[in-house]
Amino acid sequence: MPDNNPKSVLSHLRYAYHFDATAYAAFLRKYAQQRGVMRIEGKIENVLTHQDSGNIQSVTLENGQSIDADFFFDCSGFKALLLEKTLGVKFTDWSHWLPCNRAQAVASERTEPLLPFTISTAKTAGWQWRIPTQHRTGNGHIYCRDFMSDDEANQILLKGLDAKPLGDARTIDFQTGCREHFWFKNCIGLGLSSGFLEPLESTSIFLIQQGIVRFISLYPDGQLSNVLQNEYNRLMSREFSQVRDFIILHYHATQRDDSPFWNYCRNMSIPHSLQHKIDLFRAGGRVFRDDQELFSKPSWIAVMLGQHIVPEVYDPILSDIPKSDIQRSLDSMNIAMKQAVSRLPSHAEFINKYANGVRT
Amino acid sequence: MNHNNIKNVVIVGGGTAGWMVAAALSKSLGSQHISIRLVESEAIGTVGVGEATIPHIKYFNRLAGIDENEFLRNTSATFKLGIEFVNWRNIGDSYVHPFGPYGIDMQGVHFHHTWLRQKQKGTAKPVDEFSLPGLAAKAGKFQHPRPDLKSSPMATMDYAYQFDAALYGQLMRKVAQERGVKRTEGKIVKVKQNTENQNIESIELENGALISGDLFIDCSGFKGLLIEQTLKTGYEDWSHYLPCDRAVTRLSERLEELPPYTRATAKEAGWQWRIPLQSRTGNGYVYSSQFLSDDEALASLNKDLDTPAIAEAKLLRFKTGIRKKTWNKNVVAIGLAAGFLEPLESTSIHLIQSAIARLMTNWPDKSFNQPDIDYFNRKTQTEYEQVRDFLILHYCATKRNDSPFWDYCRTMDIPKSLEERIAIYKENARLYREDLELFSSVSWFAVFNGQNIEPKRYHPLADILDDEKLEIRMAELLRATKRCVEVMPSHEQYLKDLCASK
Repeated sequence: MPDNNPKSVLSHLRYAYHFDATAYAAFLRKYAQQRGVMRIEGKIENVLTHQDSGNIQSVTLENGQSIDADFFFDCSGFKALLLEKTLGVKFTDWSHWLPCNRAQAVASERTEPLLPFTISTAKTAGWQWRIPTQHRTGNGHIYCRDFMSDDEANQILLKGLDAKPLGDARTIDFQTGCREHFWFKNCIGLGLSSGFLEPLESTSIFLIQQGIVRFISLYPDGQLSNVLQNEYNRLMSREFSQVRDFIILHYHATQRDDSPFWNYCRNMSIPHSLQHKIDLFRAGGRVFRDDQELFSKPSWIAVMLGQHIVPEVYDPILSDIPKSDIQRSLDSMNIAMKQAVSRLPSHAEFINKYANGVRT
Repeated sequence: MNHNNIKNVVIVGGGTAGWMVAAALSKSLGSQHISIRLVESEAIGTVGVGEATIPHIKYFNRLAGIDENEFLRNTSATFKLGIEFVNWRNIGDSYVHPFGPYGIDMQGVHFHHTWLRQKQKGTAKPVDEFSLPGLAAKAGKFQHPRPDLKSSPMATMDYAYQFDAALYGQLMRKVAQERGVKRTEGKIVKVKQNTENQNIESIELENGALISGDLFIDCSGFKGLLIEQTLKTGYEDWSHYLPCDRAVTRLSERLEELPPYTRATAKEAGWQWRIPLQSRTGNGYVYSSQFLSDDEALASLNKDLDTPAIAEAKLLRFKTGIRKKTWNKNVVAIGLAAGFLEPLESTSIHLIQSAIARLMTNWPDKSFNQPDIDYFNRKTQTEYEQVRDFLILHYCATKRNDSPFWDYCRTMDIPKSLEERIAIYKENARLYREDLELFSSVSWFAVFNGQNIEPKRYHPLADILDDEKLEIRMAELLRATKRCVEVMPSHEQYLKDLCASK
C-alpha cells in the first residue's frame, strides 16, 4: 500500500485492480438492490417514443409488461438498443486510426508468481492481453480481421498462453469509435452503447465512471435542458478523443515493419491533437496535460519513451546544472526505489494477508 | 555541452513587468551561464497599474525569495481579503468577492447548493455572512489564515495584497540586481532583425550602444516596442465586450482605518477603484470615452474621493484585447505589451506572473522550437479569454438602465463561452472550472450570485439533509464564522504590529 508519509518514495505509488468483471457486476447488483434499485427480468420487445418530443416514453417486454420512465440509461452494449435502434444516434467511426475490430478471449489457469501488472504483447496484426486475477488469468487477442484470419488469430492466442486454457475462446466483434451524441433526448448511453476503445490502456470502466459522475454533476430536471445535454456531450466526446489519441500513440510510434498491419499503423495519418503532442515531446521532452485529461504526464512520458520517441534536447533550464550533480540525484532516486522495492512483500503474499478471495 | 543554449536575455522596459521578469529569471536561471540585461529609460514613465492583487502573488514572492514583512514595509502594502462591488447589479446594491470559500461543502455538493435550497425556502441569510474573508473585510479585520485549525473557516480563508506598484518594481529591481541582472539606462532608437528569419538580433540606444541578445522579453508597455512596432504581430480588439478605454487616476490621502479590501464602484460610464495603502489611497475611474468625456470623468472621480487628493490626476488610454501572438520569433511580450484587461478583478500582476511561469516551463533554446511557442501562445490566449469572460460577467449581468453605457452592457453580445456558462448556472447552479482556469468556482459563484443571476434549481443532493438539520447546521456555520471575525484583530493594528516587528 502507498505510504502516507510524503517523504517516502512509497507515497508516490498508485495502483488499480485486475478483477473478474462478471463478479464485479454481481457485487454492484447486490449493492444497488440493497439501496432500493428494482430489477426486472425480461427481454425488451418494443420501445415507445413521444410523438412530439421524440423522447422515449416506455419500453415493453416480451411478456407485455410496459415500463415508463422520465429518463433512460442505455447500457445494452454494442447494439445500443435505445440510443441507436430507437433514437437513431449515429456512430463516429475511428477504425482508420485504430483498425483492430475483433477479439478472441479465453481464460487460463492461474500461474505463479501472481503478477501485479497487465502484460500486453504486440502480435502480427494486433496484440494480446494477459490479466492475472486470484482465480485465473484472463487472455485475449485483439486483431484486425482485414489483416488476419480467425484461425490464425486463434492459434496465436493459444500459443501465447502460459497455462492451460479453461474452455474455448469467445469471439467478440467491435468497431472503434463513439456516438455522435452520448446524451440524446431523455437517454444516456453508458458503456459499449456509447462507444468502444480497445482495452489497451484499460479505460472501458473508467469511461463508464466518468459518464456517471458527469451525469450526477449535471443532474437534469424533467425539462431536460439542452444546455446540460450539450455540456455532457462536450465533456464526454473530449474524454473519448483524449483516450483515443493515447491509444493511437502505441500503434503509430512503432519501428515494426514485419507485417502489413504494422506498416499501416506506422504510416497512417494521425489526429492533429496527437501529432502536436508528439512534436512537443520530440523537440524538447515536454508533455502537457490537456484539460482534465485522464492520462497524466508520467503516462505520456512512459509511452513516448517506451515507443522510442526520444527528445532531441532536454529542457535547457537544466543545462546549468553540472552533469555529475544530475547523475548523483538520479542515482539516489534509483537507489531509494530499489531499496523500497526490496522491502515489499510479494504480490501474492500481500493478497493472502489482505484480501484472499480464493475459496479453498 | 549544448551550444544552442540561450546565453543572452534582454528585457526591454523597466516597469512592474520588466523587473518582475528580471527577478524571477535571475532567481531560477542564476547568472553564471546566462546574462540577463534590462534596458529602461527614465525619460519614459511607467503605468504602474495593478496595485491590487489576487492571492497567487504570494507564490511569486516566495519564488523571488522575498520575506513577507520586508515586502509589506517596502511597498506600503496592506492586506486584501476581497473586492467589494458597489452599484453593479443595481444602484444601492453591494456584494463582496471574497478570497476563500463560503461555508463548507455538505452531502458531496458545493456549499452554494445548500444555501440555494435555504434561499428557496426563504430562510437563508445573505451569502456574504457565510464568508469569513467577506465579513472580516467589511469589519476591517485581518489576521493570517490558520491552516492548523482544521474545521475552522480560519483554515480556508485566503488573502492577497494591495501595494504601491512603483515601490514593488523597485523591490524587484533590487532582488534582480543582487542576483546579477545588469541594468542599462537608455532609450531604444533602432532594432536590428536577422535578414533571414526576422528574429531580433540587437537593439541600439540613443547613445549608439548596441545590445544584442538571443531572447528578448518585451515589457515596453502598451506600445509593444518589439512585439508590435518591430514584428507587427497584430492585436485582437475586445473593446466590443469591454468598452472602457480610458482611466483617470488620482492619489488621495490615507484612509484612517485601513480597509483590508479593494472597492469597485460602478458609475455612469464605468467604475471607480479605491485601493487603500499604508501611505495613501489609490483611486481611478475606468470609463468608456464613447459615453463620457475626459472632463466629466475627472469631475466625477474628484467628487467620489473619500480623502483629499494629494497629486494631480493622470489620464491613461488603453484598448482591451490581446496581442495575436504573445510569443513571436525570439520575442516574448509580458505585461501591457501582451494585452490589456481592465483591473476590475486585479489580474494585471497575475497575468505577468503567469506568463513568467509559462516562459520558464517552455524555456527555449536558440532553435526556438515552434510547437513550444504555439503551446505558449495557445495557453496565454486561453488564460486571457477566461479572465475576459469573468470581467464581462460583471457588466452584462446588470439590471442598471440609468445610462446609455449600462444599456449597452446589458444588451451587448457576449462570447459564446460565457453565454454557455451562464446558461448552465441558470439551469441548475452548476459551476465548473475549465482546465487550470484562474478563477475558481467560488469566485464565479460570488459574481453570479452578487449580480443576481438566479438559478432555476439547485443540486438534488442538497435535499438529502432534513429541514431541521439543515437549519441547525447553517446556523452553526453562521455562528462559527461570526465568532472568528470577533476574535480577529483590526487590520490597522495587525499591520502596524507586523511592520514594527523585525
